[in-house]
Amino acid sequence: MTASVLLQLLVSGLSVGSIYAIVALALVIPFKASGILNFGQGEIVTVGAYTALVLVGFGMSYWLVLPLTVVIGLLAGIVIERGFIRPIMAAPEFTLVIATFAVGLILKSAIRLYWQDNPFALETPLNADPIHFAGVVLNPLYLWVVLCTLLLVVFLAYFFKYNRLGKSMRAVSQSHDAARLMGIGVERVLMISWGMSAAIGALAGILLAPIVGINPEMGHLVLKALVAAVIGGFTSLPGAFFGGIALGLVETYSGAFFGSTMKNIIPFVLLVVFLLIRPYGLFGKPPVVRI
Amino acid sequence: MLSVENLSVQFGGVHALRDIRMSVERGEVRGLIGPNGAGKTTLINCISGAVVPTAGSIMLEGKGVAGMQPHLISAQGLSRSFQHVQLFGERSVRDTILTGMHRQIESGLFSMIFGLPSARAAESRARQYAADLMQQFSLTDYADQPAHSLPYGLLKRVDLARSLAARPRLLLLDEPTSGMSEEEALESITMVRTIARESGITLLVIEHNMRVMMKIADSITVLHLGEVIAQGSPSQVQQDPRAIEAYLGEESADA
Amino acid sequence: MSGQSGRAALWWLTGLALIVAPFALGTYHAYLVNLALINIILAIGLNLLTGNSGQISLCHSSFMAIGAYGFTLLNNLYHWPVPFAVVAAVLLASIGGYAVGYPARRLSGIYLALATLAFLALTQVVIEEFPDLTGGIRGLKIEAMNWFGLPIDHKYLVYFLLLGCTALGVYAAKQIMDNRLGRAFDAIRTSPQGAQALGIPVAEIKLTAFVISAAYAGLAGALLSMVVGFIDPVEFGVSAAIRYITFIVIGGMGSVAGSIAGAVALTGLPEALRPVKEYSDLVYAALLLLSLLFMPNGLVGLASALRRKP
Repeated sequence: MTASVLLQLLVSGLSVGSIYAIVALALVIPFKASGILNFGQGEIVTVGAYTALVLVGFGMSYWLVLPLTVVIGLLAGIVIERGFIRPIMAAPEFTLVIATFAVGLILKSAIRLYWQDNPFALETPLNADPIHFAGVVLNPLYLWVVLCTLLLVVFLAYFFKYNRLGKSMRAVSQSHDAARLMGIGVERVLMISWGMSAAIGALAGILLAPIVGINPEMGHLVLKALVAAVIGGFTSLPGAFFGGIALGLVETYSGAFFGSTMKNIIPFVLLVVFLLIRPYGLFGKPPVVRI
Repeated sequence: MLSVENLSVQFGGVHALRDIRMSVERGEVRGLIGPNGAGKTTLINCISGAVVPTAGSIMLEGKGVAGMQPHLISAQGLSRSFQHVQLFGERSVRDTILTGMHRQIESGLFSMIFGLPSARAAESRARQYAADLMQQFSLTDYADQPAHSLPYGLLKRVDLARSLAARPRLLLLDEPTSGMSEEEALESITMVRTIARESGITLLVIEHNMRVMMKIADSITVLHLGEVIAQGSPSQVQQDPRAIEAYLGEESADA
Repeated sequence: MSGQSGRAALWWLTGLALIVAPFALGTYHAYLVNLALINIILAIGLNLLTGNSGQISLCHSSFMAIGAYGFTLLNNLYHWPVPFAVVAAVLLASIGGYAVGYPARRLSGIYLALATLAFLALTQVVIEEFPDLTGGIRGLKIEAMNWFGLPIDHKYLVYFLLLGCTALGVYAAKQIMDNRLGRAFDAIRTSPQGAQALGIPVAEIKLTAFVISAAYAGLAGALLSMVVGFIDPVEFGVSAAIRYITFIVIGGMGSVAGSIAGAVALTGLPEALRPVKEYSDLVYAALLLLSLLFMPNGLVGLASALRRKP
C-alpha cells in the first residue's frame, strides 16, 4: 500500500462520507425539531436526482440546475410536512415509522412507473478528466462533493448560530412548549425544518447522481446515512457530519484492505455495536427522563 | 421486613428525599402521609426501583434493592400500584387481574402452546383465584368488560385486586382510594387489609384520606419536604405537633 | 342462539371448503389458496410481535428467508425428509429471532426499528455474497423433495402440510393469547412500567416474542419455497417487509382474526392488480398509509364498529 494509494482512498472515503454526512444531516434536522425519523429520506434523495435529470433534459446549465433542484426540494419538503407529517404527528411511534416508509415507497414506485429501472447518467461540467496532484489521481466529482458538503456545513453552522430562524429552530428542538411561550411559531419552524431536510436531501441527490448513476433504488444509501446518524448521535448535527465522514472512511478503507464483503457488512456491524453500547452515538444525548 | 436507611434523592438542585430512615415489620400495615410534594411517591419509587436513590440503602427482607431494576425487585416479592392506573389496552377486567398473577402461574411455553393439561390446570387455578378476588371487590359483574371502560373508582378496585393477585410479600399502594366515594374507599381498603392479613402481605400505603388511613394503619410515617417528621401509631401521629403544623400549613395555603 | 350456531356453521363450511379445495380448484386458484395460508402464518407471527408486544420488526422477511433457504438447502444438499427439514428451518429461523431479539430487548422505537433494519441488510448481504450456497441474486431452485416415498401426488402433500401448519399456527396463537404469555405481551406493549411493577420480566418477554414470531416466519418461508419451487431473494427485502406489515395494519393489529383478515385480503390484491402490476408497490404503500391514518384498528376494527352500530 503506497502513500498515494492511501491518499486516493482518503479522497474517495471523504467523498462517500460526505454524501452520508449530507443525508445524515437531512435526517437529523427534522428529528431534532419534530422527533420524527424520516425513513423515506432516501427517496427524497432519489427525487432530487430525477429532478436534476429532468431539468438538465430541458437544456439548463448545471450551475442553474443545482440551486433549482435544492429549491424544489425545499418546496417538496414543505408539501410533505403539510400533507403527510402534520396530520400524524401525534400518532404512536410505530405509525410514524411505517408512515414515513410508506411515503418513501410511494415516491419510489411513482418514479419507477415513469422511468422504469433504466439507469440514467447526469452530465455535469465536473465529469471531466481526473486531476493529477502530488502523484494522486483525483476525480473532480469527488472533490466537488466534498467541497459542497463543507460549504453546507459552514452554512448550517452559521445559520443555527446567528440567524434568527436558525435560532428559533434550535429552541423548537429543545422544547416545543418553551419555544411557543417565547413567541416562536412552532408550526412554521417545523415546516421549515422539513423543507430544509428535503432541500439537503435533494442536494445529495444531485451530487450523487453523476457518481453512481440515476436509478429508482438510489435511496438505498439512506441505510448507511442512518448508521452515520446513529454513530454521531441523532440529536447532534456535528455528530451527523462526523458520523458520515467516519463511516465513509471506515467503509472505504475496509473495502480496500478486507474485500467487498467486509465493506458491505461493516456499516451494519457498526450499527449493531453502537445500538448496543452507545445508542445515543458519540455526540448525542439521551432524552430527558420525566419522573 | 423493609428497612430504609439514610435514603436521599436529589434531582439537580432539588432534594426530593433527605436522609430517610424507616423500618416496616412483616405483616404490618404502614401508612405514609404528608402534604403534597413531601416525597411520598418518590420514596415508593425508590423502593420499587423506578427511581435510583442518590444515597442510602433499602433492604427488603435482608436483601439490598436500592438501585436495582424494577422487575428484579418485583421478583423479590414486591408489587405496587400507580397513582394513574396502568391498564393493558383492550384487556378485560379479568385479564387485567390475571396479568398480575403472571409470576404465579406455572405454565411453560411448550405446554401453553399445545394446550397441555398442566398449562390448562395452572390457568384454571389462576382464574379461580381471580374470580375470588373479583368477588371480594364486587367486580364480578364487570369481569369481561374492557378495563378501560370502567369509571375511575372501579378502576382503582381493579388495580387493588391486581396488585393483591400478584401475592407479593410487600405491597406498595400509591393513593389507592383516590377517586372513590367515602363508602367505597373504606370498603375497598378494609378488604385490602383483610386479604393482606390473611395472606401475610406487608402493606405500605400512601393516602390522603385521613379517615381511611386512621382506620387501617398499624403505624404511620409522616413526610414533609423530603424528611420524616413524625412516626408512630395513628393516635400518636394525630397529636404530633409537627405533623399538625405541616398539615395546617398546607390547609391555610389551600384556603 | 342463532348467532352462535350460525358462526359454528360458518367454521364447518370453511373447514370443509379448505379440505376440498385442492381437488376442486384449478392450479391457479389452488396456488392462491396456498399463498393465502402462508401469508396467514406469517401475519399471525408478525402480529404477536408487533400488534401484541408492540415491537417494530422491519426484518420479518429475513426470518422468512432463513426458513426458506434453510429448508431448501437441507432438501437439496442432504435430502432430508420434508417434515424434518421444515422443523429444522423453523428452528433456524427461531435462532435468527433470538439473534435479533437478544440485543434488541433493551431497545425500543426507532432504535429497535434500526436494529431490525440492520439485520435485514445483513441477511441481504449474506445472500448476495455467498452465491455458491444461496444462489445469490439469481435465486435458488428446490429439487425433488423427500416425502418418505409416499405414492401421493406432491401437490396434495404440500397443500395438506400447509393446511395443517396453518391450523396449528392459529391454534398456538390463540393459546398464547388466552394464557399468561399473551397477557404479558399486551402488558409490555401498553404499559412496560406497569408490567415491570407486577414482576413481568419485560426484556425476557420481548425476546420470547421475537423468537416465536421468527419461528412463524421461518415456517412460512419454508412452506413458500415448497409451494413456489424456487426462492427469489427479492421476496426478502425491505419492500417485502413493508408488505407483510401491511397485512397486520390493514387486517387489525393484536388479534389472530386481524392477521387472517389482512393476509387473505392482501393475498387477493396482487392478483387483482395483475393487469397493472407496476402499480402494486404504489397501491400497497398508499393502502398502508391510508389505513394508518383512517383505519387504525384495521378491518376487524371496522367490522366491530359496524356491528356496534344499531
